[in-house]
Amino acid sequence: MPVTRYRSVEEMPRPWREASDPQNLRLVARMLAFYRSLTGRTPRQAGIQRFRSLEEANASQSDPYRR
Amino acid sequence: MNGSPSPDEERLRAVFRALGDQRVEYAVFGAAALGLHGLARATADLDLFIKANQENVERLKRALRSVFSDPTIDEISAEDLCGGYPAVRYLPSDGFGFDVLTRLGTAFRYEDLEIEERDFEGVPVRLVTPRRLWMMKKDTAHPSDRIDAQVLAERFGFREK
Repeated sequence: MPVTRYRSVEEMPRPWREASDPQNLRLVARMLAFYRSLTGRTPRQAGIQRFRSLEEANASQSDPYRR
Repeated sequence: MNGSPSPDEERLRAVFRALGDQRVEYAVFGAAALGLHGLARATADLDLFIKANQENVERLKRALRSVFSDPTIDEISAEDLCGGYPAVRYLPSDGFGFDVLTRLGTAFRYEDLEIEERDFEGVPVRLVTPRRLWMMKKDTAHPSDRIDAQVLAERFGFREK
């Protein structure tokens, strides 16, 4: 792969995929697995939890993407 | 991206097929919806917005039971989801989890969503449109939601009026 130089991050092409790409589902599966690989040591509370709001649900999850 | 499906992909496909088979009125929102629209980022769970009524909650439970042999699914309650607990999290013993929502603050109910159905290699998926995702995220306090809103606006050309 050739090297491409940019004067700023803004010049770099965005890492977007076509919205209609049927393989986007496969990519979402990879992102779900990637997340768990980042947070694998976080204690896992399996089962059902209920919350009064989505904000309350997000606050209960102790990981860097939620706080 | 070729090769055999990963366990997460097989589970995603199984869940979406089950939701369709059970005629659940749902729409994917959150980071998974962004990814399905081509804007991928890491995420903990599959966010499902569902219509708030008892029959639909029972359909959701039947769909989840058909994928997971997990008696805790019976703890999902229409009384909660249609009442004081509009957000329910289901975390199976392994793999990704689910956030199920019947309303978002006072601004969004299922009836307020714009939903499109897309086919992902034979699997139909109902997901919130990019514009509605942007509207759901742009005024929230959470930093990751604001970043998502900025990316949606840039990718799809949304502007504040």
